[in-house]
Amino acid sequence: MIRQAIVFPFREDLLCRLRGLAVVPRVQSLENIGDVLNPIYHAGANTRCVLVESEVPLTSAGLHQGLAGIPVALAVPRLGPLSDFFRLLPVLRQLSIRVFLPIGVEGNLTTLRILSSLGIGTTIVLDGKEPDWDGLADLMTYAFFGQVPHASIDPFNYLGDNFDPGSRNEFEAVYFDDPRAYLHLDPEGRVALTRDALKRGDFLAGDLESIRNGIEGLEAFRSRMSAWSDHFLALDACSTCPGWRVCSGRFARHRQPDDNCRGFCAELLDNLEQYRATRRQPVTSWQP
Amino acid sequence: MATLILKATEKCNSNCYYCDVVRKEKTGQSMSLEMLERVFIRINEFLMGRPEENLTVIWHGGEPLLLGPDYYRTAVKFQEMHCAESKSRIGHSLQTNLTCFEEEYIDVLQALGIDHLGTSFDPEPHMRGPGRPCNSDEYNRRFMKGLHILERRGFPWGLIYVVTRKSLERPLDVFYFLSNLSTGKGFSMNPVLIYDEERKDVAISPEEYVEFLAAIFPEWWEHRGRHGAVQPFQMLADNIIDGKVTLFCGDSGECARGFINITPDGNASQCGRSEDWGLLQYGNIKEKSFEEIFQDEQRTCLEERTRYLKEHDCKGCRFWPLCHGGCPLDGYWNTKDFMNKTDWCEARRGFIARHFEPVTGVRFDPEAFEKRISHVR
Amino acid sequence: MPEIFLTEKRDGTCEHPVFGVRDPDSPVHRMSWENLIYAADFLLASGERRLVLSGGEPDLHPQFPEMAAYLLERGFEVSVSTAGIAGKESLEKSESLLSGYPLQRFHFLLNLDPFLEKGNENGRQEDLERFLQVFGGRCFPTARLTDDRFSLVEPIRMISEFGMSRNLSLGLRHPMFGNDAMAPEPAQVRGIVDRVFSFAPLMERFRIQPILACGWPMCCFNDDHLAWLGRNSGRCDFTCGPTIGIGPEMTIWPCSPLYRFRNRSLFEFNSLSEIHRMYLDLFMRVKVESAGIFIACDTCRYRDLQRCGGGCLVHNLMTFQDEEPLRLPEVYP
Repeated sequence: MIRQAIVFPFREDLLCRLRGLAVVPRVQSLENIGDVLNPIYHAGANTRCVLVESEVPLTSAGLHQGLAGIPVALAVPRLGPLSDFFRLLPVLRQLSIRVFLPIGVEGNLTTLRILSSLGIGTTIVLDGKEPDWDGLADLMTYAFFGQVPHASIDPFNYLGDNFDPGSRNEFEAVYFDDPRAYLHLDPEGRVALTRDALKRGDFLAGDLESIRNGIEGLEAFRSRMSAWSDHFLALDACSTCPGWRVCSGRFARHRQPDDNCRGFCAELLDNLEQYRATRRQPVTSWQP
Repeated sequence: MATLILKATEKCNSNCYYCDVVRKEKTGQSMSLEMLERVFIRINEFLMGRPEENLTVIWHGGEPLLLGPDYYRTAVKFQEMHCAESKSRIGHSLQTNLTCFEEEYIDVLQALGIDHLGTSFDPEPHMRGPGRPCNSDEYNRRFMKGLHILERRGFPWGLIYVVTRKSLERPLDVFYFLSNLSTGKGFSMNPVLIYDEERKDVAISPEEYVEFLAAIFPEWWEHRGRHGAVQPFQMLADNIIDGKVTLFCGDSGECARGFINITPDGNASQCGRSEDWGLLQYGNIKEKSFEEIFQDEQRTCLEERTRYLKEHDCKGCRFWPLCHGGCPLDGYWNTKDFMNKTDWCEARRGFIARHFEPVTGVRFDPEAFEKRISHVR
Repeated sequence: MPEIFLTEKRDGTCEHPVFGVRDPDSPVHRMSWENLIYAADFLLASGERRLVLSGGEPDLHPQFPEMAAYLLERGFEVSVSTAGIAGKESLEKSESLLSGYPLQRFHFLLNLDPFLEKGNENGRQEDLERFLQVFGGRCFPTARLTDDRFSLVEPIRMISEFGMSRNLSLGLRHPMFGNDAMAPEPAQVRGIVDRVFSFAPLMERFRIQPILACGWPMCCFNDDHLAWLGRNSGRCDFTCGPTIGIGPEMTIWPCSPLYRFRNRSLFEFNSLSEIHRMYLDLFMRVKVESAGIFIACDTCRYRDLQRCGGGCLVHNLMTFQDEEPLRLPEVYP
């Protein structure tokens, strides 16, 4: 059984293959979102969320009240004029939206904090550009130790909520890139484990039908899940990084690991431990 | 608690640079099933004669998994057949390099009562693996494959790292590597023991080992919750700070009557190293029971050693209760006499006095510790 | 009510800058978003829901309208202390972003000091009138009095013309610790009080209800003055306490006149009440050394009853500087 949600570029001819599955349609804009959701519904698939990969700023992305109730993951390059944002804010607050912003774009670290403080969930996108590490560390501190409640900033708050001190902590799921939770289709319906594998043309299967019994026993899946050990076999900088347990090389992807990411990840691990130590665990009350 | 080191095979698929087993001029033999059965008969005989005693069997080698899963299924069968009444007092553990570990081992090892595998790893190239120089690439790849199986199946494992000269350049990097690999489950850092000239290039002195530990200890201490039980730090913390009594065999001063090492042909000795050096040989289990082996007259000298050192070489030493003169074999090497304290004495004391105590802020209290020991006993 | 100083930049109309002469255009002396968010979180965590945006001239901060909108969206009641001289573009943006908020959530404290004396308007009438056309109804007028030569005629006319609040905040110009020659001496205060009440009929006619800002010594008001205030004024408080100022770089001070005295950083504290307690303790120590701006304050019954704070304590702090340092160490910078 396929347990993963399927991330696919929205095309109606793919829908017949998705019956009974949780799906994440990828679209370029929010226009005519009903034309995306209705066919999915009628095809018997279950929309987990809509992934909007927009090239325009958030303020021009076409957000409107009609999107209320639809979980939207909105990836934009930047916010847009702040004044426009504040005019849009009353609408934004009614929506179930998470904003993805690349950290390599100037001003986005500030935007992430503004959005989070106003109750809008955000995710930082590691776009391969060299980030402002100090600013990122500052944002991380805010995510964990902000003085008043705020919306989550992933992957920090995801890590905080799921942190297991005795394991490697991966956070690819926030980018729909954890094969335990998501699989990717190309326009022809071929299946890849991750977004990168999709781009490389490295397919797990020719179609979903051939993996209907699940993928956990497949060698490619196991190989992906054990890919972390490549760092140890290579004895690379990530394998000796104090922050390995909360990074697994992710912050060094598309760049050379160095003292910057090393220092940042070490601080991330320290903060996670402190965050978990100080966070009150929910108390379960007795119920008959 | 008695401990049986069961060297079920001397065969090994690796040629680890610092290992003595592969260097010995032995036949590379494995324990026959007949001898294996005799081991279980002797175990039961021993435990039935000591109703309060427990026994731990440590499967060792060579590489014990080269024996194949059927061998261990037979061991399970022998235990069922011959130890029906005593099996609840038998514990098993196994030390392996993981390179021939397959999924089918898990069920049979669990049937034997093994719920944890001991293994070891060297990140430095050419320290482990077949051939000379050691082909560590293939070895490491197979090790990781075995590790992935363990992780996938949620099977606990522990790691031993051997500190060599190659470790000395980057102690913290080595430490983080091991901590990352074991994800906080802890590991042991044991000094390499080299007694020949040929491999002096990897040998380290006791002082160098202490420097290595000293470079790492503050990081471990600050984040010990994260890194887990790293030896020898955890042992020191347990005993000096946390009020426990958990000494290693060589430090307990009581190894005389607690250990047997058995080779594939059934010869019994004190431990693996004594067997390698031809010391403290107690006969063969074909002729002798475990009880007879434990009562062997030669063991008296080890008991005598403890009493002697306390009154002579180690008299007045603040760390006596933690050490008891160290491993008798460490004391034997240079003088060929057991009545000597370990060569590692100064280094061990130095580590505790110059590093452990200042960093932790806790000074070892020998009197309080002695009280705890006598209470435990 | 805490004040957040958005920028050190000021316009020429303000003769009494809080900040010294530094490069006001440097981003270092402008509130960053990170610091603003931190300050907002800090205040919310302290249970404070009201604040004043100040400066320099706050709407000279390039993102003033957005920052004000942000604070409003965080749930604050925002007052903006301003001279009302925003440029056209800034005014348009402010109108667009901020006009929708209710009056009690967002309003201006408009400084009418230039209009207390003819010829002091500094040529900004046009800007101000444009501002008042848009935001007049959201303005609470304020005036700080330097001497007894002022006139309230023009301020009252503007209040009436532009629909400002009829609560006119009247304060004494306080000395700024470390540097100010413009503040009235204690001996001049009675004259200023008399001058204020000379406009009482005008205020009555135009239903102006003066509010006395902090630092007025009660003894400078006679019974008639106090009776008139009792019938006609808004809040009148003769006491004095820390209000807490937060600078762009998170420096804090007890109140504007003391912006250079015993500065600390907001990051050192966990709550506003901690800061308040610290500065209140400091104020008490100053009062122990010298009860008020007059010698008679030391034996004043109303000071003992805490009905009067003895005037602005900056006067006392400045006189301490001229003495031998024999007093409590806390009263020195």
